[in-house]
Amino acid sequence: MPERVTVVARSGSVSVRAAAVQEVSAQGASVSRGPSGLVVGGGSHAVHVVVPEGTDVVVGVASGKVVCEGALGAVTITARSGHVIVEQAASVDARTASGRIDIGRCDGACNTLTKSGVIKIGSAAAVDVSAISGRVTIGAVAHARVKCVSSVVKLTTGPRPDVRVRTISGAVEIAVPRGARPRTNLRAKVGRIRCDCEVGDDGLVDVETVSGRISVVCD
Amino acid sequence: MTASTTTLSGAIAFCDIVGFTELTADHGDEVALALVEQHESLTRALLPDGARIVKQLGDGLLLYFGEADGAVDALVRLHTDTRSAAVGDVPLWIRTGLHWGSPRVRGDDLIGHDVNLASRVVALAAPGELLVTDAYVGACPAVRDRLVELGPVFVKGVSDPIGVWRLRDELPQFDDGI
Repeated sequence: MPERVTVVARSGSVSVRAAAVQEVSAQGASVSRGPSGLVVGGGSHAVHVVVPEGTDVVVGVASGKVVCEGALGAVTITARSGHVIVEQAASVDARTASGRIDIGRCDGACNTLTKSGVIKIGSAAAVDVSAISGRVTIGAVAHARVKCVSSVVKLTTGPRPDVRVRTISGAVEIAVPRGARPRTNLRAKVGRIRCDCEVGDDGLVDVETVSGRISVVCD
Repeated sequence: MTASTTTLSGAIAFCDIVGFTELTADHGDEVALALVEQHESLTRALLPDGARIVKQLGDGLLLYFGEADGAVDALVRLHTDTRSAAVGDVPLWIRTGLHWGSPRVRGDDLIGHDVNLASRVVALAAPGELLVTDAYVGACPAVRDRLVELGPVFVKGVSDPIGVWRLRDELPQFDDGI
């Protein structure tokens, strides 16, 4: 199993690419050994790191763009601001105060957090998304937990969804596959609820909002 | 004027209400005030001996724990107790950050770099999440098995990154109703 790689950079772009290599290499930064793996230390310029496929990667940046390409292991990224892109990972924990998070494919748990940014997840086995404001778009997902204060949430489920969404305000749109008949719990204290799909026992769509809008549509 | 030289080692926690600005704008000052009072009341009720609320900062509370050991458990209880708390229809969602350090004492207040760090860490937490720093883990190594490492994190106003961890799957994330 490849050694964990931690990348620390104050600003500037960070790219981590998983490739068919045996050793970790880095441009624009020094590599040293830390207590729990290799540490790539950058400053305020671009850092490019190549790691073996399946490597667990931890990235901490103050600002700037972080791009992770190829098939990585567990990816953990914390950025105060900037744009975070993860193409493919076994699991993801990505958080940013005011940036954008784009996750392509996550084979395991995908935890994301933004204060006022945009979160977009292509597909994931399970997502746990938190946002204060901003937009959340989740593609194909089986299990989802979403908690937002005033965000716009769009989520597409599989045929047997397990989806729970809580918001204070904003709008929630859940798209289920045509023919799926999930059990639903849709509650808005003040707000409009629309459900176009048939109700049955194919999983659960559970959405509650205080003053938002909820719609469940057939995709 | 002479500055105080008294320091006090201990765990410093910040707890704040998630989305307080948006909640206040949408639901008004009365609801905001009631949420703050409920937050304070629930917190005060579960503090162990040697712990106290140092001060209230808007929607946030600064807490001090004399012993490292009980701090995580107290905050877990706070998250559990606030799980179904609400003012009318508006739920009380909180997040917490915990650090260990040696702040300066000024009357009943605590100030200094370690207090600032604790306040920055909570800003990285999701609703219902507890984050702790490397310094806290160093003071309470037994807690490490309950944590997942987030790695080095840059926080506002501090040049060097700090190590941050999150509590692993112990906290209630979803209740049965808002």
